[in-house]
Amino acid sequence: MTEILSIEKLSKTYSLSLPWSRWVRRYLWKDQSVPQIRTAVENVSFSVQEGEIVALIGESGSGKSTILRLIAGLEKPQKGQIQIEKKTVSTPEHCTAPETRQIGMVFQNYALFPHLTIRQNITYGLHQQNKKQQQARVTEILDLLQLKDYAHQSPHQISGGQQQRVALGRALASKPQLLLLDEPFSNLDVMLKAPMRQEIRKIIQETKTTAIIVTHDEKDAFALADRIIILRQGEVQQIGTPEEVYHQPQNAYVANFFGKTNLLNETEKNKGAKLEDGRKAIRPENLTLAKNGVRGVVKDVTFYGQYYEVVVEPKEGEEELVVYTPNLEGVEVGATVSVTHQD
Amino acid sequence: MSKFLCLRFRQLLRAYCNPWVLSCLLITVTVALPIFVIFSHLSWDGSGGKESLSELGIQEWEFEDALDNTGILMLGTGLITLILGSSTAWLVTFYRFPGSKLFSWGLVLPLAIPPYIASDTYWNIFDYTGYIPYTLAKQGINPLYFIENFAHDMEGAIFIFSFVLYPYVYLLARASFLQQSGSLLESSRLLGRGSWGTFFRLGFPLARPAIIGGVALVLMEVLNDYGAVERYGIKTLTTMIFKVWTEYESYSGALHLAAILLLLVFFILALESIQRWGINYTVLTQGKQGEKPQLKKGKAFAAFCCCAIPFGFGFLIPTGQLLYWASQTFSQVWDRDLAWSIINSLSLAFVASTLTMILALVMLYSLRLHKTTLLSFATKVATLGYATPGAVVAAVVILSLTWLDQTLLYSLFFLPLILGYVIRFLRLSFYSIESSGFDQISPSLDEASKSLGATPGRTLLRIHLPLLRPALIIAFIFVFVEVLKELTLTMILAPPSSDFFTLSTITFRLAVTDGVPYRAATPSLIIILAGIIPVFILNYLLYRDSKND
Repeated sequence: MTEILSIEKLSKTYSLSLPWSRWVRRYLWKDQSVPQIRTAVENVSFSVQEGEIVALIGESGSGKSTILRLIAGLEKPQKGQIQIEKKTVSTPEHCTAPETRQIGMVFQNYALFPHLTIRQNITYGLHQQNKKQQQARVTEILDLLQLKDYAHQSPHQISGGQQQRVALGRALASKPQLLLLDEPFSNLDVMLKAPMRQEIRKIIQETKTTAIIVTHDEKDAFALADRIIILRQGEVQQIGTPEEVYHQPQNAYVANFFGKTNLLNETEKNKGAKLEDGRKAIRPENLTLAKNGVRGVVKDVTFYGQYYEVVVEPKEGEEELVVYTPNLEGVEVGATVSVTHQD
Repeated sequence: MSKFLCLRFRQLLRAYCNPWVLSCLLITVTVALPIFVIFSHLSWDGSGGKESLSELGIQEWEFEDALDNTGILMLGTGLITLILGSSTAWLVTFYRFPGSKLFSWGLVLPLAIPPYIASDTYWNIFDYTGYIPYTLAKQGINPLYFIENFAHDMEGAIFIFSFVLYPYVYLLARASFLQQSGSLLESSRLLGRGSWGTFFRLGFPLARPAIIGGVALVLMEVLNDYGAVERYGIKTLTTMIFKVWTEYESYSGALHLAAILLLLVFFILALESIQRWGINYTVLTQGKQGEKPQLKKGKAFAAFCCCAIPFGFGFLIPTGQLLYWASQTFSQVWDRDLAWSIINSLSLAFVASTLTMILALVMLYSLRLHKTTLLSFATKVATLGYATPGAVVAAVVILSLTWLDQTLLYSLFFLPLILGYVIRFLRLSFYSIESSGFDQISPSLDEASKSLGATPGRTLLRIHLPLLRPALIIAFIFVFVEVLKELTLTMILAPPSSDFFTLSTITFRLAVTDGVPYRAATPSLIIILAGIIPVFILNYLLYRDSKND
């Protein structure tokens, strides 16, 4: 396995453009409370192996899209460096132009050229090849994406799912070393998302492409990625496989990011994943209502379809426990129950 | 430290040493820098300039008179256009009454009539042989008092300016009213404010930035005008620049006056931007207005009159009079001069608008590629010319060309004129291409093109140019028509041969210098007809988003 991408200690800040009144406050009245810069990415390092699919996940403003734009060369870093196939492409002093990087990018709004047909859109990036090669490659891509029948239509004449496939095909046409996908599913209907995830994973795997996906939806990350990188306010929180980040979160933020978690003080009887701060995280579905274990009073029961959420208050001064259970078996609000950890 | 400086220098060099940035800066320097050079001719202690004026035999009181007249003209026109523009826009946008649909676009039409053409027409309507004085005389009233004190005086000039320039206020006010959420106004009505209260407490304050912006445009047109005030014999700063320049042939005197005029313009621009300070709310655009209330009987009649008066005086009467004159004289006016003036006008307009379009495109694209503070400042400076009165632009062109070479001005023939048009109308082209072109193209298209290996040049050619085509056409038409209408600049910078005419200068010569307004009707109508095209485009662009119309 060779390393396709390597990022070292990358940082990016933006200087805010201040409106008149705030400019006066900042620079004439020297009001320090007016911020000048916003930190988007802070000291981020990771690497991506050939053929791997990596997901960058975080809330909005966590810097995930900025990292993608830095890799593509659309932004310049303030610190750190980016290497693609051992060649340094971005440092604060020098950035190679995006058009020379051989990176494919799928944009959130697809960014299809509205005045070109589907076929012309896909051909756009192949201008260095001759006509024959272009023809062959476009036909190949159209076959792969099952878009043959739409080749001569305009982007606005086809559906959202098809537009997304065109965007993917356009990015893949020139066989990029690295494929970047920026929130690829956020513009799709909920019903379309699941099949599109499957399809895109299939296409990426078939073409043996190395890919980085930016998303805020943990389902996208779990379904597609080999590794997940969780970001918060520009800083990496954890890097690991989907199972690792879900079952062995390193801190409370990561634990809560992927759904409700019981964070318990460290005692011997509490099992579960140990966090950096010493607490332990236990997923609600790993707890069951049982005869033995921690005793408490049921405070609230909510039905969510696949499961019931039961909130149990053990004793005064202790944290509430949340338990997911497929059936209640007679448990109701006010009843005394025991909670235990599944093995 | 020196290493750091060296590094920083290389970074700067890399950032600014590329063809796009350099050409953008070059355009700014050639187009805008002369405007600032003119200030060096303003003597701050008041001695130098005035000395040269008094040496020319111009008394101090003459200068003060010109300043006073300019001020009164601006004040009167500003107030009347404010009232006419905002009230008609309010009525047409929020009520239905007989003719409201027709007025909604008809009220813009006076914009097609340059003030100097309207003033010629009204001068002759109100002249001794005109209809109103004739009727007055028939009633046994001496019309002389009316003619000399109202129709052919300051009042007459303010009347002309107000009724042909109010559409600037109307257009911007209406665009702003249309953006105001219908539900906002409906809630005001439900909270018990009547329609007057709603206008003064809600509609007007929300649209105020736009309305004042419109008034500022009107004032700049007033400062720009030469033809109308000359016709009415009112001494303003602009006519004074002319006089000093053509009669006394004094560079420095004209430049001194031009600098004062420019200061006045900057003062208006400053006031206009100050009134926008502190406005950080965005007007809701959601919630379209429901059914417009239908006005009945007396109210409907009042609303109709309110719109019919500006439309009538601003467009119908002058156009009707011109049509009548033209039909009477059409067969006699076709001569070599008129034919040549049309050819001259069209070719000048074609060259100027093509050049302006290309320059604006280059600047906008450089700005899109390198959105640095320096470049956005440069483009702002380069487009200042639109606020600069024609007489000042002319002075600037003369100044810069004579600075290069004393004989250059007369040997270049068309070039000074083209340069003047470019300086003055670059903003128009720039703004059209920006707002209906580049702003509509998502930046992710540029990025997609880049990531697919396209250089900036290829992206411009393959992506932007095809998408920009409508905006480029609009920019071309706007500048084309403005060049046809432009009088002040053309008169000063036209090649100094006695038989060189454009449509606007031949109109002015026939109507004012030769005193045969009937013969000027045909070229006037050609200019007006050409002027109607961009009015319709403007109307379409401003209101295409509002479906309730």
